Amino acid sequence: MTALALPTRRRLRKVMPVYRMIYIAIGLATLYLIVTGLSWDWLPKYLPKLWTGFQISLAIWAASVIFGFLIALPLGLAQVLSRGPLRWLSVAYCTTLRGTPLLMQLWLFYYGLGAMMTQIPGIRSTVLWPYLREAWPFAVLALSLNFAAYAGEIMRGAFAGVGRGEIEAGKAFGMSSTKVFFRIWLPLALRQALPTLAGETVMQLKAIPLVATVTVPEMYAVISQSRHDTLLTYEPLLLIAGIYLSLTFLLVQALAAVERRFSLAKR
Amino acid sequence: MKKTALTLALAFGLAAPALAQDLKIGIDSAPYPPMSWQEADGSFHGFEVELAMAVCAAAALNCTHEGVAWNGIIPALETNKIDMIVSSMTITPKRQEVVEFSDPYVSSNAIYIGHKDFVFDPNDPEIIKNTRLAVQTGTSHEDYLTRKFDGQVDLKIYQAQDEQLADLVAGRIDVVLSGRMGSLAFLSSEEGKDFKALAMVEDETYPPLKIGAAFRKGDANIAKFNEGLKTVLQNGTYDEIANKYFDFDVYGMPKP
Amino acid sequence: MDFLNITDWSLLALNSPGWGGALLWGAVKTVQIALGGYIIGQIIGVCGAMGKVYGPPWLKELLAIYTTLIRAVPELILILILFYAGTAALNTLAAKIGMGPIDVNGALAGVLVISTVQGAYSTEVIRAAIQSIPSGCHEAAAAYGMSKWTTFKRVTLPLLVPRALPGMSNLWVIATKETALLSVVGFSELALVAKQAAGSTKYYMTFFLAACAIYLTITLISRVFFNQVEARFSRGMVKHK
Repeated sequence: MTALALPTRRRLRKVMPVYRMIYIAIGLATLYLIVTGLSWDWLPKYLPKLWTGFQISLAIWAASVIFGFLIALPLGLAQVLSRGPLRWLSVAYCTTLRGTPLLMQLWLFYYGLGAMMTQIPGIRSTVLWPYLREAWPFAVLALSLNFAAYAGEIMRGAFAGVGRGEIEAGKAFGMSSTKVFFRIWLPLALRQALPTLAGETVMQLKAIPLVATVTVPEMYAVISQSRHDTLLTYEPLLLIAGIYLSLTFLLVQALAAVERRFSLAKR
Repeated sequence: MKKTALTLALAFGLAAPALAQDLKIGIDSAPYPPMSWQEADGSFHGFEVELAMAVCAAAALNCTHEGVAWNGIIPALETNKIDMIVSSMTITPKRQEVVEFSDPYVSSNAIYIGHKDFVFDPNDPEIIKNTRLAVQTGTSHEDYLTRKFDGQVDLKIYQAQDEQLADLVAGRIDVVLSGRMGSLAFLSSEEGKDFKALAMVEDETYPPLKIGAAFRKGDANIAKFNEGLKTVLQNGTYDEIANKYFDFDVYGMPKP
Repeated sequence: MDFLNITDWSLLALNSPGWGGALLWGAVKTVQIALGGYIIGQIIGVCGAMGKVYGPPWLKELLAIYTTLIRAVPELILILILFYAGTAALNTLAAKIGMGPIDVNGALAGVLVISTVQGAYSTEVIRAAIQSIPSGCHEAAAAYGMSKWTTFKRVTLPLLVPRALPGMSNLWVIATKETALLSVVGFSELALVAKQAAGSTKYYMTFFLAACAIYLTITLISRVFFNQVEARFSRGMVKHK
């Protein structure tokens, strides 16, 4: 009996050492205190709004990552291929957008640019006007341009990191430049950039609450509204922190799976 | 980790034990003329600022002003960052559950502001449905609109009064519900010349507003503040300050 | 109103009613808070990285929880939580040791918040730097009979600094930009001053552009500085392209 129990216990010790049990206990106790000790009766009323806000948050995140990445490709390419003004423009773009706070850029686009555009005579009768009135196009624009600056820098490194040999091999096969780019250069660069890009998309997710400051009714805006209605200081904030914690965790897991699928070493 | 930061911060002299008699008046850091605004040199101006100082002087309280974000002004009071709120805060039963108000010092109304040619009627569901309605976050107006139009209309929620007025001028929103006092400066300004009060809230669930100073519950300074307010009302200081900003009776209640 | 809305440069005059002076003062506040938060954050980072690499398992796990939690929640929400909870905790603590209520000014709360966030990122940056040092170096030092302290001073540190510096200079830029989030809690730094100026004058474009220019200047100056430091500390290192 004891001879059998010992290795089991030792194995258990390894997975579940005493300190880890203490941490888990503290974590569960905190969670219990948060759930029972604080008031949550306001929550059901806000759930539908929160769900809408959640979807808006995710949509803005996804749109800005996709658009940002598409802008990042020429930005990175320009810095590798060009030696002239294109390169300098691209470098200046990345430096400027990375050197200023995203919050400031959001305000600049929504209140600055937006208010300026609405003064253009006749703009109120154009087909674009319904969109220009909204806040989300400006939020997506600012977030995409910002993401592009970071991703552009990453893609520059990745494009530069692809060996000459691979590209020359492609050319030797008689591939056109476009074909070489799409079949060899881009896939290899992407594979190299994937871990850093993945990290950047996580950062982008955490930037989404900022768009609430330009009246986009996303998740944090709903939380913020519930804080005013209920006059609770912590509960709504803890809730959204928890939601983001789970979201980030899920996203990191998903991205890790993608990375495993495409990484060179594991093949 | 936080303790390290604390000790270091204390060592760097970033935190100082508070002087007991110093009262910090929390005020929205976004401009809300003519009630309150901050000049480029950092000084606070406006009717409420002057009035609060006069009341403090009459009550022999030592007061200073501190800019706070409106959307966190009650938490700032609860966590001792400020000691009272004199920032056009309407006395509402809900707020009274967490803070304690002084006697009211201003009466106001909630008004719908919009372009003078805009057709608006708050009681016509058809019109409401096609109106882009905006309101400042954390105000009793927001509370009222969500109550009244729940599900019927998408409200645009702004962080500050100046932002929603800027978007009103830009044509991104049609109508703003706001306090009458905080809209006067805009309506009489050059950019506000095409805008007017389209309607006044006439609803028994949202009676005319009484604005008071908010304190933490059970604060002994409330009595002192009320005493001071009474003094400035009686000795004419209140009218003297009010006449600088308004040409009508802002107190709107029988004077004590 | 002017069509382009960005033409009235007299609004940026240094003296009131121009807002230029206020903006610069806001910039000073921004740098102060960023610097305070950055320095404390780096101290947390060094301690945290030491704990993560050399510490006992329970400490490693505790630090892992800290860095994971902080890095998984949006900064804006962290700042809001820490701003209120931190102040409340500080006051409780002060009351416990009999100091009476502390006047937690915005600057202190700001430094506290930025350093907590920075500490988490810095821990990871420095940990990665420590772990990138080839173990052979330590083995060689041990073979020479160096004491632990001598090894740290003569081998680990000179190898560590150039490895950690790029990440640390990046963290500094992040710290300066993070201070802008404090405007959301009403702390008067560059972003909030710009917002106030814009709101009072209605020249949104002017002031947001001006503020962006100041942030960019801070970033560029810091970059020059960090490049110098990096050059100074990477003498004798093999340059990778």
